[in-house]
Amino acid sequence: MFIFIYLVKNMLYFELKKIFTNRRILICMVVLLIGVHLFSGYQSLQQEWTASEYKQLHERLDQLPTQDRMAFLKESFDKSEYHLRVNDTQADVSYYTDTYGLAWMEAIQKQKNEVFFSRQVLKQVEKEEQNRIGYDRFRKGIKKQYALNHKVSIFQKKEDPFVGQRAVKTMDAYETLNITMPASIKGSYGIEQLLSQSYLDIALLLFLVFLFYEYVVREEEHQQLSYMQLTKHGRLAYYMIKIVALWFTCSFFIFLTSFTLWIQESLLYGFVDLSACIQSIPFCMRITKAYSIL
Amino acid sequence: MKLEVRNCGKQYGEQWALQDVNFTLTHGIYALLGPNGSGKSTLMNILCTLLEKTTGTLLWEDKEISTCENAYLQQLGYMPQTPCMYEDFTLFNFLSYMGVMRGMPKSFLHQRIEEVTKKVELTDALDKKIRAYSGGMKQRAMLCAALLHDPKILILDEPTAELDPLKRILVQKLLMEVSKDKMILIATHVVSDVEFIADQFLILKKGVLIEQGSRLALVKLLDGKVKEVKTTMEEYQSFKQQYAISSIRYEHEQLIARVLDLDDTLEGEVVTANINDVYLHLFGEKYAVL
Repeated sequence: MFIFIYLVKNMLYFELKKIFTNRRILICMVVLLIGVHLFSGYQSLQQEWTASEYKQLHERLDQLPTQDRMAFLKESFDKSEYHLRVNDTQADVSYYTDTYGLAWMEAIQKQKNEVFFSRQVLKQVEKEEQNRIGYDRFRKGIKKQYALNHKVSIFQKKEDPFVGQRAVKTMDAYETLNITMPASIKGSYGIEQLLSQSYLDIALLLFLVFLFYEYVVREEEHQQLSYMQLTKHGRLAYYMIKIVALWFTCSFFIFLTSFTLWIQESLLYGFVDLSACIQSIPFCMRITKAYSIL
Repeated sequence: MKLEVRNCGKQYGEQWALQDVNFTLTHGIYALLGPNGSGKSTLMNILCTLLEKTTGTLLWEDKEISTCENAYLQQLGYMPQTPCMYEDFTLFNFLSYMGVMRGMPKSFLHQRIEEVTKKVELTDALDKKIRAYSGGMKQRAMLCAALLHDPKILILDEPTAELDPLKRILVQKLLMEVSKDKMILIATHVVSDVEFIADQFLILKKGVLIEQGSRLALVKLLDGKVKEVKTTMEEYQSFKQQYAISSIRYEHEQLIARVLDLDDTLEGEVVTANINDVYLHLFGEKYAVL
């Protein structure tokens, strides 16, 4: 593939020039880019908590030793819960009395104007923190499951022979994985959002359809394709280089949208270390390869 | 250098667009004449290998073209009727691209770009975007692209259609100049553009090659049958219903009609026929200019 690209690099240069000097393609790219950003911004507004609240919470967590973070989150959660019940004389507050004492409750009663972290943002950050400290536990759980299934499979082969095999395969997949979780996973929500959104795929699909129409169908309509067929490289090599140019342009579009969205999300939720392992992001925890986020 | 077309035919469904066409091209300029729908474009597309023929054989240097297609295409320069350039490219970019597509070495390519653009007077517009070109400039640019790799065969579809008179003369002179060592086939229905530069004429009618030969051989068909008749506008109105009239003009307030008098029934001065008269004779029947 790369040898082919090297041999026809001059052709590829002109094919890319065709695409990147085509006003309609550039306009489409910009429109989709703006659309993706507006949609992403709209989604952020739809959340029950604000990005500044999330960032503020992370800033507070960063000042604490790692072992105290979960306790802080739990206390913040309780503060928030208790604050909601301050004026409710019927509410059962025995849990707060037992856990934190009357002084703590009085202090919260006095902080009527203070803004407490919302439960939703606390849950989100707690999930991230649990992911960081719970990763080793997760790996140990796999080992345990493997051992358990292995044991069971000796006696219950006939019942489900696949359970044992699956456990072995899972174990094998994780066995060689040697990664270290970063101490802080500050702001991973932005990346999480970026990686989980389907509107990026939709934007890419729309772009690909438009690009194909502009770059291939219109050339056919204007008889440019048949004109090129009369040249030395105008047949197989030409079509192959067109596919490479399409792939390259789509990759560029993905990079451009992802990069600008990453900037946007990072500005909202804080910059995350892209060299950290991909498992730092909660929903990527189960990935069995040692990839970085980047 | 020889391109031979033998019993060439093209069928679309039940309809024959081209039927049993035979001719041989060597060096020189050949004019392919015929009205719209006569099969000119079909024939040109077949010669350019863009269209598969239904019957017949195409021979390049006595070899079937399908067996030496790459070598044949390397020798072919084609200029389609509609400019098919990339509007966002400059002419230099477009010609460089065509050179790359034709596998031309870079140093030779730059030299050729300079040469061909000079010939069609587009050197000053090399760095201008094609989008900003006029119709005539686009046609000259397409001619540059066809000439770029110095091909032996040039197939040109209406090369002068959008050119002003000066540029028509420029292109005609250029084609005359390069025809010494090339075979040039020009399809057109602007007869005057090729009348004095073509060595041979091929005339197509409804897919059939009805006449072929030199200018002299063709005008001989109307020897003594073209007359200039002095008339009045009133007489002309009834006159044009009966005869094929190729042109009219006023001379000393007298209307003079150029008439094809095939039955020799008119009084008038016999003049030498031209290809326009032949074209009118073959296609126009009793068609008048007004």
